[in-house]
Amino acid sequence: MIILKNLDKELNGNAVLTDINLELSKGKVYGLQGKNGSGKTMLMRAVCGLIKPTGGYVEIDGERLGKESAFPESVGCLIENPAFVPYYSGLKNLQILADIKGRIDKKDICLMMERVGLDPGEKKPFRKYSLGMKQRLGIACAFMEAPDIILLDEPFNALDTEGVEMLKNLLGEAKEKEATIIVACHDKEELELIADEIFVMENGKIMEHKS
Amino acid sequence: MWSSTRRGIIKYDLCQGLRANMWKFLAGAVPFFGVVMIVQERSVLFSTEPSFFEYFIYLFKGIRNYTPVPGQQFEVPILWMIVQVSMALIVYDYPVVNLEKYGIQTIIRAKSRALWWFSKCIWVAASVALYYAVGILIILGACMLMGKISFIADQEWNMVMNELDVSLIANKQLWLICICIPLMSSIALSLLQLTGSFVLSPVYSFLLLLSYIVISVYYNHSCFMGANSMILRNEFAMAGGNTLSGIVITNIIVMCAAVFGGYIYFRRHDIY
Repeated sequence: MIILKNLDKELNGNAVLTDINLELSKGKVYGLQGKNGSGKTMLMRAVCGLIKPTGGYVEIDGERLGKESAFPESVGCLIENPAFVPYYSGLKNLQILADIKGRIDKKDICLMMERVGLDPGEKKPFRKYSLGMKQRLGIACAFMEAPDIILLDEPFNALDTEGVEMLKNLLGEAKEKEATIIVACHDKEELELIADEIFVMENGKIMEHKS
Repeated sequence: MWSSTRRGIIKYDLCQGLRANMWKFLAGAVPFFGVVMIVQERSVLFSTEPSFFEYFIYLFKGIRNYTPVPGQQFEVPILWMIVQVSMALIVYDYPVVNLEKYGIQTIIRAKSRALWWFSKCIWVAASVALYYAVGILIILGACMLMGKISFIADQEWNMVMNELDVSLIANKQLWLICICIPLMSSIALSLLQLTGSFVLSPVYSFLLLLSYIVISVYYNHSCFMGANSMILRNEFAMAGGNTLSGIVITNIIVMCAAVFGGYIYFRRHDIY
């Protein structure tokens, strides 16, 4: 379970997150809805351990981030634009990242690439990928190690109908495996299709909770 | 698990970081080609071919302590300076840009800010070492083109060209002052630049480092260790010059301060 308690974050004197209180269970998809600059991405960064709260805390399975652990034990994320090494192929990019943990091998990566509709044998470097292909690679990267927490920021960007369907399937499977999934999206309708609960954000605050 | 993660992230930085900066290594080789041209052009003045050390002494000799005298101009050691600027350009913004882009994926997998930071420090040291290796290869190639590779410094050559009496310096010490000390000093300065690039910004850190190096050339003070790699400033070249042990200790202190000071800062650094 992920608990965010009285979470505040200020950057350069501006409040980007204010008094966030959330309890997120395993096996559910949570939606963060809000306009640009409403704090969705910052909230995800806080859950990832990438930013340090000014006040309050993030607790994951009983461990406070920044105290007991610096980062969640198992997290996959796609935050903002998918960023990879521009001159490596998609497979090489995922392989070099997977090597850090050493939990999955090339075969697993190839399977995940095929799942998202990418050809693992494609030699084209990442910089020559289309926007949709970049997004699919970002999604593959977030899901490939079957993490306990999955954070997806605007995952529908640049995806065609087939891509949206693929993402829904992946989300469904991750839910079955008891992953906690947070999806940020400015589009209410897309979010309603996949999320079990939706939090509406505005100016760094949770304004509404829809179940 | 820890060790496979550590290996993974270091491998990532070495493969990716060195490749990302490949063009900078090529551009940075200019001073090595410059010294090859100058030394070979002047070799007609001497009866013997220049040895491997003549090139390196010429490159890293720098200038003796500068004492301002009315009417006397401050002479900037151009080649030595270009080497320092080249290394500062190699480090420049790679670690900061890496963290803002794909570094997020590596740091959440490494699950450790310390590991990420120390991996970048290793990358800095490896990049500087690679830069020197490129220089060594270029100079060895030049020696081969001249007919032979010799590692015995020539007395006449160095007295005339480099104002250095090599008869007072053992061959092992030449390796130290021509390769090891400049390499170690460069790593220390580059680590300082790495820390500065996070605390300030890559641009300010780069400019600050260059200013510090220029001040070190101008003022001879123990606080300004930027000129530690200059051969003409050490104890073999001048009475009362920097001792090798002093240079090594200063470099170790600067390296530790940069690596651990940087880590203390990075622990609280927001990644966004």
